[in-house]
Amino acid sequence: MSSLKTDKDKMNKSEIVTRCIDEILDGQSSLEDCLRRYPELADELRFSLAIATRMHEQRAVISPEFKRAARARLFLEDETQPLPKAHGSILDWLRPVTLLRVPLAILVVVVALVGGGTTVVYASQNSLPGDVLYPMKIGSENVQLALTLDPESKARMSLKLAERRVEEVVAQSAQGRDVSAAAPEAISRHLDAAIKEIENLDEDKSRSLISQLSQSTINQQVALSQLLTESSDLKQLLLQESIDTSRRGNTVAVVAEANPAFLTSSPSTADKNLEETYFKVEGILRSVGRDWNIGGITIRNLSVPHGMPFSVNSRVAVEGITRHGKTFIAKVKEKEDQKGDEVRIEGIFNGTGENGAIWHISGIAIGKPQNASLVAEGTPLKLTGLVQNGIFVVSRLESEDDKKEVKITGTLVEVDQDITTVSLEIARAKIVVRLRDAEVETDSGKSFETSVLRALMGKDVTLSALKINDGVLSTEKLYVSDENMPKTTKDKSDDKTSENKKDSQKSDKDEPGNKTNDGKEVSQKSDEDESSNKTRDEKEDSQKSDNDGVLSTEKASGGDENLPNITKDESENDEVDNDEDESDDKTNDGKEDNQKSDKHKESD
Amino acid sequence: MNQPSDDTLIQRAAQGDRDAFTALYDRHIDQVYRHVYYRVSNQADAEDIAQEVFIRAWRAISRYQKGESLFVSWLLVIARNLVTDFYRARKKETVLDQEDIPTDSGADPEAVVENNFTQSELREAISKLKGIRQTVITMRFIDGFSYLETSRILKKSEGAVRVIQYRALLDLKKIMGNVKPEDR
Repeated sequence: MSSLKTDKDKMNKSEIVTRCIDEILDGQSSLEDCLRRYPELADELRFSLAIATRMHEQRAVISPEFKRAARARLFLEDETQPLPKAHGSILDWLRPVTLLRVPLAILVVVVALVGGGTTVVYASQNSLPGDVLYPMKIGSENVQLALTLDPESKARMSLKLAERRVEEVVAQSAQGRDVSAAAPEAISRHLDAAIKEIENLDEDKSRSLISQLSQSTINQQVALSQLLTESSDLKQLLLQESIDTSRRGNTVAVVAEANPAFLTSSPSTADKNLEETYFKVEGILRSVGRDWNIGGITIRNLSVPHGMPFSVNSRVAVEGITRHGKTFIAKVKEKEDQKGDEVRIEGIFNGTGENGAIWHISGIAIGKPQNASLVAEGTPLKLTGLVQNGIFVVSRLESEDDKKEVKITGTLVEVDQDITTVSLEIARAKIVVRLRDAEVETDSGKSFETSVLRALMGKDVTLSALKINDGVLSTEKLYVSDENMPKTTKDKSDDKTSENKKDSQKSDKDEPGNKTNDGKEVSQKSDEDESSNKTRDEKEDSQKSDNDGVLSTEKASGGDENLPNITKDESENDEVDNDEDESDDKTNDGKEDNQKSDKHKESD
Repeated sequence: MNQPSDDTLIQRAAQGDRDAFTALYDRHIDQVYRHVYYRVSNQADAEDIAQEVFIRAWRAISRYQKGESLFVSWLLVIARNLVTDFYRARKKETVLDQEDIPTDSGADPEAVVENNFTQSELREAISKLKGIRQTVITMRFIDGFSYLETSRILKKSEGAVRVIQYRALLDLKKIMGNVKPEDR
């Protein structure tokens, strides 16, 4: 307190206020004492102290659970710890394994294998469920898994094992045998093991494995769906369960690729409700934060991945999944079409709440739609309308039977010259699909020739009627939403010349007049879009690589590697009176510099 | 028993001692998290970034050299770069706070004088402070750094930090109360 009196004449207002705050917060002085000494600063002192106190109260508190979980993840990206040097004895070889606390049973199997059981193991590799050697096959798989130490290899192996279970189902069907009742659960178990390991990987490895998960689960679904038509009821059931498991695996891959935080919710392919909370909402983005308001629909407790482009008051289409009270956003796209306040929500009807006043669609609560009859729980719904005073005024309601047909949706990234093969990008995996007399249809049912595909590059397309033969995936149908169809493209019914499907797959120059022009114009436009997309993506990538945490610090400061890298706007543009700051720097040896600071607006 | 210093722990961690690095993590995670949270205003993002700070720090621990900067300042540099990446990756800035932010930020001047402002109003006001002023306010009052620590981290003198802090408080009063410039 005496220090305040002594320096009173020398100190400027800023010093008085800041020193008072410090001493009050440290308990060395009181507000009353400061006000007594500096009554002319009463307002400022009171306000500044209130601010400081409030900010102190508002300190973010880290959750103990997160703290623990993050601590556990600190070293997960490390490679396998180096094993102790072997000394030639089988026990020494086992030592690193025992460090992992591998169950004794597995150690015994290892010893047996090393002891001479390898011939039997090899013979068991082609066995199927029900065969005598099948348990040996499973046993050796378990050993391999137990001895795999790093998460990345474990994830890859688990995916491989899931594929192997599917191959067994296909082989059993081919031999006219019953499908193992344990097949769906086994596939699910391996997929879930892979997903769990992927969660612990760093971004690059995680992305690579998520792509692999996506590709693998698509192939699994298609391979299994081909068996459906030839099967008995029980077999159909088991096959369908297996397909559903793989499809859920693909859903996990697609969401996790966009939003890795989704993996922290421990999604499981065994969870039959997993996809019942996948939603799409489109409307005007009215507010953001922990909850988003889109056209009057509130989506709560969001996890939004980095890099999602959106701005308030623009029209957006959002996709995501709700799980354990949290909403994980997978896609945000800004829409250019002008639809006013119209809002659309797509998802699975989960039931009602609050005596029917609330409908839950994929975990999102909306006011009961006006003029809409109740549908069965589990029904896929698409509602379009306006939200007024909390009520959803429906202009269009579409519901569909829960189709089990295998479909895949991805971004069209390649169309070959003869339009016989297309490539889709799904969760960063490139899926190549052959076209089998394929047709292009829109949601509204209009058909187009496949020549229109080039104009759809970069757009989302859906493939159905899929088959896989000799590892080659093929399709007979491509769907595109009406809004993604290029506006200048004419549908089949408008064609002046009628052509059969084979002719339509010839190159564009064979087609007459206007249609050729339209095709070229549209494809040019889509090329421009694609190149601008690439340019934007390249820019974003270069921006990211410019700031690689520690490395960028080292690069930017060029020499003194550990000094802070203050960004340009902070050091140069933000301070109105840079000269005064510099003068403070020069003169500050613990002294007050009043001469230059007198020029300062805040000085007395 | 005296806790080992940061420098001791860093030396050990640089040799691969995970326990030493975990001790550093335990010591500084709260501060890093608080620092990030107020820059991104979202718990999930703050957790992601805070975790990433330490993962990167572990990766680079052998390259850290004790110099003018404190270890925590090194962590905050990493954090600030990650926060910069976070905002650059977003196309347009739409950062709003987690709580509902009233669109009319011009609070009643009398209420401001009476210091009767809500936490959400304060948070919004802080988010509107310019670069270094926001940094100083959050470092001083939310992260709890001393003037010395703040000055070392920001490469400013302590006096400059005090001036910036004072100006930031005036800015907050202006933002929250629509105080006219001539009243300053």
